[in-house]
Amino acid sequence: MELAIETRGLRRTFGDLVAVDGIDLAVPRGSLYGFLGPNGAGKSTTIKCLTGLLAPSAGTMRILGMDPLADPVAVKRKVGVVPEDLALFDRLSGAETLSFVGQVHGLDRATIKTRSAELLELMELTRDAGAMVADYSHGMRKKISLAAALLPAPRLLFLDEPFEGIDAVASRQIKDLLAGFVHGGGTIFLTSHILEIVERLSNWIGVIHRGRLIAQGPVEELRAGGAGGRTLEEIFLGLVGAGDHKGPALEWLRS
Amino acid sequence: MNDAVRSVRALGWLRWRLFVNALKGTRRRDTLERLSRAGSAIVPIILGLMFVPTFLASCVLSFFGGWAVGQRIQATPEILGALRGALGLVTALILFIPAIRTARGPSTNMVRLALLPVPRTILHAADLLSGLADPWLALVVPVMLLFPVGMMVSGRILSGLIALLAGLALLVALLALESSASSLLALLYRDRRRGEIVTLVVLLALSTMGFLPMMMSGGFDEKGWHPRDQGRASRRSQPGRASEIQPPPLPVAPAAGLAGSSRDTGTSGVADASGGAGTSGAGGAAPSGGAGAGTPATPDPAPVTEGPGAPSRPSRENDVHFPLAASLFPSELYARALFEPLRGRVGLGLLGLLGVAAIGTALYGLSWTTYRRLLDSPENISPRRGARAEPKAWRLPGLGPAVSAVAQAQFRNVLRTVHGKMAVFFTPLSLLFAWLAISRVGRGSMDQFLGHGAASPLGPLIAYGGATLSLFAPQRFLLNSFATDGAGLTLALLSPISDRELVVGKSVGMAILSAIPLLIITTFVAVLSPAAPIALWAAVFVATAASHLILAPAGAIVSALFPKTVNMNRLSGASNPNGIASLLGVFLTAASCGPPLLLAAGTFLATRSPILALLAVLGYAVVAAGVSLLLTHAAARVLAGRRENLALVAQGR
Repeated sequence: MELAIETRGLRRTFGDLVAVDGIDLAVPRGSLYGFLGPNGAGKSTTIKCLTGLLAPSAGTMRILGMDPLADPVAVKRKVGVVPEDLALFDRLSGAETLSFVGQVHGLDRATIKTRSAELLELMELTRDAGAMVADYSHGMRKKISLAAALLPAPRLLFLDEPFEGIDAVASRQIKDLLAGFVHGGGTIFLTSHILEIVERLSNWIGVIHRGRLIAQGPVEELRAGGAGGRTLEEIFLGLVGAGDHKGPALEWLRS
Repeated sequence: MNDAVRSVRALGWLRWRLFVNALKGTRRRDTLERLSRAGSAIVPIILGLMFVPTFLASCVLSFFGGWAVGQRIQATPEILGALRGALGLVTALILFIPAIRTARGPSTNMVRLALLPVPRTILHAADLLSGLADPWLALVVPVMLLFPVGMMVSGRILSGLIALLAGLALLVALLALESSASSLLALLYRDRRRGEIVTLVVLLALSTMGFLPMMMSGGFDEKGWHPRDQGRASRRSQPGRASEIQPPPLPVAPAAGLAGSSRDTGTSGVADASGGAGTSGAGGAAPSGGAGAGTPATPDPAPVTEGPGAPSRPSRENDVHFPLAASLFPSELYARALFEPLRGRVGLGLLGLLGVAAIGTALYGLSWTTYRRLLDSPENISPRRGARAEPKAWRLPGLGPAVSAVAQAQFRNVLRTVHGKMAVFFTPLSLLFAWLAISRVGRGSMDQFLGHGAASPLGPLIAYGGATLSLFAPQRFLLNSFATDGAGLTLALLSPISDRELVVGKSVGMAILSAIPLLIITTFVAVLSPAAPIALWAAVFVATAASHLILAPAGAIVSALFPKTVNMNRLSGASNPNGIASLLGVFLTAASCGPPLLLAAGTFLATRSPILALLAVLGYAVVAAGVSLLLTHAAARVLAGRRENLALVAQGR
């Protein structure tokens, strides 16, 4: 099995805090890999390490067969990222953002123009393409960030909560687009708290909890591993032990 | 009632916590930045410590000032004049300070306030009362309250009572004025672009204020320098011109008909220090023995014959004169309510009191209306505007697509911020103001000054001075060039751009930005100085380019070492680079701009040859290019080691 992402003992610490604790990821090429975990589990830190925003404290990584630490620019040419904070220049317009991304990827003007127009239309941003990102709503920022990630036609996409703040129509279009991308041989590494979406889209799942990768494999295998026929939510809650968690009763709220 | 007290207490606590937490700041990862923040937190603490004795001194001085006025001691006109000046200044400050404060950023979350289960009247009252926490207002409260008390203690009961009521009315007026100004500005700031224009206007006003004294002053003539005031004073002293310089008087009620017979309203022993509705006309007393235009001369108040320590009548030359328009200022009406009863004109004093009360009521109404409007729709309402949907992509000659893209993004990002616009356009504007100011001097205006001599180097020299300023002006961006990108830096770091390309691209972007003011200034000076040799003009451009070649990568190293989260659209220290970076920036500018100037000037003075001066600068530029390569390499290495920290700081974490 050819891997798009492969890590060995990937670890990242912040002082005494171990955010990612020696995980071994294996993401097959052409898969849509759902990376799940509770808040603070280490999902975003893992993505940041894989995309070159954070240097790992220990371990090795291979992205599309390349070492991102040795040749980060070569890896970035093949990768698109929608990070957690969206990473956009406030003072560029949506169209200028796409133009910037196209230029740094070395695309010619005609290609940038054509792809930008199509992506803006898909994201329903054509009318606001000339407005500054500073004036965009959260959902619009998310869409333009996704468009920027797709514009250079990457072979691997990192999507951190891509559907958060996106309306139902655009969400449906984006899901179709992502499915088409994977069908064409692309790989997606996706995190989301909306388990239904992950369940519907993903064919591979990884679950991280307290910095450790506690489960990884095809969705069918994970489903078959337990009592069978379980939903992803049940699998997830079972893995992270959230089902047993009992908080304060808040009796005062019922009075 | 309990609800109201609870709400006000909660809002007071909210203000206090916001203040304390602003001093603490958020967690920062950079040790140098923590030190820098600690330094900036000391300033408000020191100011707070200084405020306490100042406030106490204000209380004591106010009380004794009132007592002294009541006692009619010698210093009365000076006390009253100082009082009027101070209150006038505070009124003007109240109009201006909210503009600066709003431009610094929102201090109160109106959305959160609007969601609170607190009546709007209470919110408004709390907003008004919060004005008392402003030091300039807090310092005049004792004046308005204790000054009348001092008067009453000295026996001037009625005068003191009128003054006290007028003081309370003035306090309401000032609080309402500040609240109105703040709310109106907050309404303006709901639209991002409109708010940024206001910030830009405030910044320009603040920056160009320094030229005002020179613009308003006189100039040189054959007898040397004469300030305008001097000329005015000499004109004023000419007989028969009094009516031209005196503002028209306000109608004056017959003193006898309004004056009482008590000590308060009896014969006045206090000099006409208000310049208000005195017998000599509003806004300024006539020269000795003079009269306001169209008003029959009224005899001076009778000499003091009562009260302890009856003084000799102070000269009217000590009076403080204000323009007529100022007489409708709340502070001037208050002064009238304060002084007129002391002169025995209780009716005029009451008129002043009514005037302050009327203005206070009107301002309160305005304040309530604007505050309610703000609470009705506290959210930002910025409409999305976009001029060009299809952006024009640059491909700079000799540079790769990545460098061109970074340079373009840098140029657009900087120029679309308030401070970016200031950095680019302030230098030419300040030169224009300087030129206008110098032109007012009369003898030897700028063009004559620059134009003399066939090979005068003065024009190019001034242009290079302007070029140095053009390089220095955008230092907020140059010395914090990564963090000023905000979240956009992450996009750049995720893109297939090498560290070197990022450094070079940003340097090129800044070079294009600095070229705008340089071209404007050089063209402007060249028009005024056509005789200067072309070689020297060329030397200006080469020297500026050489300076930038060193300054830009050195600035990138400083930016990578000392990043700071900034907002380049606000008027405050929040847009300044790290303190250490700022300090280094001054040295870097001197070190990069000084050598080519010294080299060119030295060569020109030694040989009188513009060509040799140009060649010397060209030689220096070659050396500077070599140094620039080394610095760029170093900057890329520093950037590579600091990427994580930079991304976090740029996002404000």
